[in-house]
Amino acid sequence: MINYWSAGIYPRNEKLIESTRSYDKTLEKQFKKEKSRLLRIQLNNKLDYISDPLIDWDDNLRPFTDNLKGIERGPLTRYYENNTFYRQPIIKSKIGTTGNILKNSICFDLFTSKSKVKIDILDPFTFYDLSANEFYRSEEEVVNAFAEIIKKELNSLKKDVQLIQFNSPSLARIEEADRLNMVKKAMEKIVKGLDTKTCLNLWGSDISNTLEEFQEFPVDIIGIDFTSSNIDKFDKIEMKKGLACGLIDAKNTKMEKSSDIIRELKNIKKTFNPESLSVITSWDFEFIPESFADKKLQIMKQIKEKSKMMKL
Amino acid sequence: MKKFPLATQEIGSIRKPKWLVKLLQDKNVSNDVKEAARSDVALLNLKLFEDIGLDVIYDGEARRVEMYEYSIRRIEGLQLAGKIRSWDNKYYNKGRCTKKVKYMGPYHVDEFLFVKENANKMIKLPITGAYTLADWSYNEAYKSKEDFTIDLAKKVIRPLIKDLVKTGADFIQIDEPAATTHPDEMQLVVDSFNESIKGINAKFGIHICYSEDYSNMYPEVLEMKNHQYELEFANRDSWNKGISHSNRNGYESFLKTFKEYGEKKEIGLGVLDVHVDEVESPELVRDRLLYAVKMTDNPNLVHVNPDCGLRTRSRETSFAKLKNMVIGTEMAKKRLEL
Repeated sequence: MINYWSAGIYPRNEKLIESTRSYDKTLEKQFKKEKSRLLRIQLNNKLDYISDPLIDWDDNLRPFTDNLKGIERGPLTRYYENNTFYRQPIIKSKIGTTGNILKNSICFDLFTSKSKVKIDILDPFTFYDLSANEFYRSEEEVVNAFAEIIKKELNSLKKDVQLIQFNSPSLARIEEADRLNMVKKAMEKIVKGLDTKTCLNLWGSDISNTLEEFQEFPVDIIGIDFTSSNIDKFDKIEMKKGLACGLIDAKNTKMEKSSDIIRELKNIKKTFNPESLSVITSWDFEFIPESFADKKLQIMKQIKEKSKMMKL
Repeated sequence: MKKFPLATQEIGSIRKPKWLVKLLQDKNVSNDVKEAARSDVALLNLKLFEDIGLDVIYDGEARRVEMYEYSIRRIEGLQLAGKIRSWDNKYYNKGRCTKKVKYMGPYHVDEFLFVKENANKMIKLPITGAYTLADWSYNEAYKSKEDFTIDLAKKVIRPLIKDLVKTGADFIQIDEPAATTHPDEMQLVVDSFNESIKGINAKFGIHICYSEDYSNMYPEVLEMKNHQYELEFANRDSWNKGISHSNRNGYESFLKTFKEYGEKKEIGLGVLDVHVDEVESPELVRDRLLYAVKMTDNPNLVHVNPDCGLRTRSRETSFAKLKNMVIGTEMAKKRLEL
């Protein structure tokens, strides 16, 4: 059986965009209403894990940038190679958390009892890489400090969550074995005592050279962005983990054909022989307008139905 | 080509007056009235730039919605997909390419002719470049980004530039704010620029901004057939006066690389930060220019401009900044006995 889910921030609709620009007094209510609708859409499109669409987040780091102790909001900074910018967190002193930042930033009250809930959080290296460090002495110190934060945050909500997805675009870019090992150790600290399923989602880069190292990471599923990693570059391997396939291109309005994706899945199954298979979006959907994201969710439903029929 | 040491210029956009925005949004106002109002503002901008004392001018892009969307609306094969976040609650209309691109006719000629008729200074015409149009759009029609970009350069931007030059444009600034977003695509930026201007006789600049490090453009950019770079620097520079490396940390890295490679092209030096309301003093502008002249050993190569278009600042702030830019330039010229 193949699982399906979408990742990260969903695009705001036109009305919400206008409301955020005019600082509408009913904005909070509008966000809640729209979140409920988007959760329903995920359920209707038969996604196996349902997640907060995060439409009230201004960027992937913002709740942490604004609420972590020791951090100040920095300048607008380009978010990887996109024409999109985020407020860079500046680490001014020892960072700390109450442990409730994520809990307060996710709409747990809107999930139905039927939903298997997934949450998105950056891995500690990506947190480090997207921040400016003015306090700690080394990369490792910062990564470990963020690992402690993440652990505390996850511990406060693990009972409410069935899948934790670590979004890791910066981690996906590194190739040095010692750095990967350092992050692996930090991840071990995070997941120790955590009995929730975890996915390390390696967005935005070709990881054909480092997949072996990532297989040693203490997570249940590895996410590969197949819009950035060409499947032909991977050697045939026996994957010791589940594989989440970023086959739904979240950065292009071109619609996938379900038959093409099915063909890709067959190929992936042959190449990786993973413990489990999932189909996910390659990045946050917020890089395409809402109407296109909606259509892509429908395509995911079609793929699910077809793959079920074909007993893939 | 005649040399103009420390020539002052503007990059592109100036915020539209509130009354114009209101009028343009009014559905009861006819297009003729709206066009006339745009002409008034274009004329006003030209006059203000001239009064301030800029050497090279345009109309503050009074007729354009925005540099990217304006072009997307005028190229066959491209259409607007919807709004995408730039940051926080700021969005832009992103285009998608659904079939091979085609030139639908000149889209800056009328505004250029208006400027030409009314300007008393040298004119620099800004247009959006092929690489940025491709990089900021979804590609649904071409096999690769390379094919999309080069097709835009050959089939749209080149005929557009030809038409503009035919009507008298002799200095064109190709805006490529996306140029350094993907450092490994610099060759494509260079190739698309060269394809865009192939066989056309005019002066060409390239405007690039908010790069992590402009030195990443080298060595590929040496093949680019531009005559001038218009680059953002002030945003990353200190506000301390002086011409030491530490005071001019925003300029040091690029200017060292520029010299190392023996560049002979002009640099339009960004001396105004367009993202802050604080107005740079003439002395700060002077020192930024003196530092650039010291580093290049050649005042003829140094031209003076804001980091980028000023449309994110109020008109009052923008013109105050430009005024100090001109005064600061005069101070530098005096110090250099130019």
